Amino acid sequence: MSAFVGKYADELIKTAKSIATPGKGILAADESTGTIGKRLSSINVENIESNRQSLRELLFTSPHALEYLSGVILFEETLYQKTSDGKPFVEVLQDHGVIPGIKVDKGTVELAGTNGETTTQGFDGLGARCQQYYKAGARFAKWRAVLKIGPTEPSELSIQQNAQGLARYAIICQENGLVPIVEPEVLTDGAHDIKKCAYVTEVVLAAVYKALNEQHVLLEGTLLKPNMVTPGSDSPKVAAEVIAEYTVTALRRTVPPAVPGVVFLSGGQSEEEASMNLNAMNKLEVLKPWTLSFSFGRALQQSTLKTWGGKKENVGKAQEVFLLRCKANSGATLGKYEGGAGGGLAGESLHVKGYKY
Amino acid sequence: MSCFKGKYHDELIANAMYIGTPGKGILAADESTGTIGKRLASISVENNENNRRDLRELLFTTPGALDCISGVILYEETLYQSTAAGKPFVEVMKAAGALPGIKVDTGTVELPGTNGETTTQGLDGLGQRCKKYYEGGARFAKWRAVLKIGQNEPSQLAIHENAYGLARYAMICQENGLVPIVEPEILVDGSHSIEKCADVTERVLAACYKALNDHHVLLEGTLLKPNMVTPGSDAPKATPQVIAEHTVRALQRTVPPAVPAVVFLSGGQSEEEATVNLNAMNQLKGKKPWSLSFSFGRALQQSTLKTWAGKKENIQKAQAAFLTRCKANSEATLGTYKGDAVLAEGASESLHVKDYKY
Repeated sequence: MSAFVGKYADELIKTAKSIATPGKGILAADESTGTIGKRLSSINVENIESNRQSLRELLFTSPHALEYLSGVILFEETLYQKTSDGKPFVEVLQDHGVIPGIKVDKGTVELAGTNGETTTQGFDGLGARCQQYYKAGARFAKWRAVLKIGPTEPSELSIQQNAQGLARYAIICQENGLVPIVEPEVLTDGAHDIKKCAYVTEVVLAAVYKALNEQHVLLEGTLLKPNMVTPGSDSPKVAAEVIAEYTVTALRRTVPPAVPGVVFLSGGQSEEEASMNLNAMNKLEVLKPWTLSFSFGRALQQSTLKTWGGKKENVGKAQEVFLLRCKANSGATLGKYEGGAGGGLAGESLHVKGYKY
Repeated sequence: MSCFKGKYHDELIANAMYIGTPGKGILAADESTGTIGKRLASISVENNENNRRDLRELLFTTPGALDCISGVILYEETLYQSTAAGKPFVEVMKAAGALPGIKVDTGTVELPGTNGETTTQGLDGLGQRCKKYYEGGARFAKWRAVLKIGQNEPSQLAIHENAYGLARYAMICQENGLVPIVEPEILVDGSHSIEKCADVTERVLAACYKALNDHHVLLEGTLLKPNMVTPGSDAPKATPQVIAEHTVRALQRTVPPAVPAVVFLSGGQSEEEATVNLNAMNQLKGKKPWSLSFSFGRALQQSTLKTWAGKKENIQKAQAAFLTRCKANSEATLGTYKGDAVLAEGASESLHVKDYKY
């Protein structure tokens, strides 16, 4: 095979398949300390370790919520944190059959000579770090590459750098027992139409899978975390069915069947939008040899965060709201979501221009 | 979309899908004059236009055969030939629900500085030729790229040249209404293992699909004609199940679901081997979002040719042999072939010719 079959091959395949289980998806709770700080300040909560711990505990101990999750992506700090009772978060997740994952990239830096395009850092010592994370209980990883649409973007350089970077990260993960989530996010920022987004997404995904092949990545032991194909943030919105069609077509043209699952990023869509779009994709009657699920951060947590407001007395209510979103998205992976969970809060756009994690 | 949406968009998609109809496959009857000459010589038949026409008429008018055939690849001469009674071959095919196709490449040339690796010619004036063929009734085309396995082969250069040649050809076809069959044949010659073949096949196919994407080819309006993944011709044979597993896995890792069908070349396998391997693939459980069918030349015609031997009195028997192979392969596309096709003389004969040149 052109794929590297190391000692973890069978486990990687099993883990990837498990994460891609229909009816479940991923909670992206891997906000870095800086990013989670912005979230906490939006509800007037101080950005200290115990508050970060409280938020994550709220999420991970929400009654029944974990039933709808196959994995949770964590930031390094969180991987080693515990509940207030002293139980390691990793164990809480494992007890409920939820696989812990770990964000391993170190953010983006600009590519000189481009118009603000970026590449992603994090290679140095990555193998050793992956080994550490595996020992701590992580079984999958995530690395976010970012591309943007503009008159001359994404440039060939940006596409190549980010695709090769993702492929290199992916093989290092696999060498060390972690299923790599491959995330080539094409930002929504801009006034372009959905066709332009489709074009760019297809070109980027084709480059990504070529790079993965070159680096001998075992596709059966990976997951893809792409953007949905939508109009730009400054363009008129379109129906969920249209987004579903363009997105699934883009995937059908670029993602080999060996990939077990596609877990979409929400990229600034409101909680409800993200669920409705995912639902429409799963209702589409066309052959889709990979499961279509979610890996949502903001789109799973936003209204939960607001409901909590940092107050102990709101924890129960916040957890109910969280459960609602988890259920909604679970239904969406099966094409069964009818809409309307969570009311007004869930309809709030989460788009931030030039969003930096 | 990253692909070019031209005036033939919907027609290309419909035709590609039709060719991949389960239960059907392609008869590759596009041997050039030189190549068909070798076939005719092997049964002591003179290589003249009449004999070439007689052979093809025998095939195309076999009662019931075209029910199993969704498309026939033709050589240019044949596209314009008629039955002895004067009915154009393309009309015979159309009436039987088989799409006429046309070989459009003009053969391979060596890449200097490589160890005998090649690239394929035929791009000059290709657009014009495709237009003409479309007018002549053709609805799909075929272009054969060839790679080989060796110590240092296939080289990056060979992979790149052939992948991008195929992509350019494919785009020109689509601009002119022909569904391009993309054929990156990796020769079976050699003593390498099946794993090596799988490795090379996956790399080559990945390069092909990157090239097709770069050239804005509409994948839904293409077909893939790859080699099956097998051990080298000088290596011990593998079972059909093993071949099926390695082949399907290679496709799963490289062929996007938008491609409606994969039509395998037989590449020197005997008629029976090719059928049994195809059958095993269709019995395999696993993700196969494209239909798996055949585009066989020798593996459909060999025993028919032998039975005919150029004699009018043998036509019926020869046609019976041809129908047998067509039905067997039709069943193989459904995974229902029981291996009980009455083997005419030559059906289990290996058709491998070292370093085969069309």
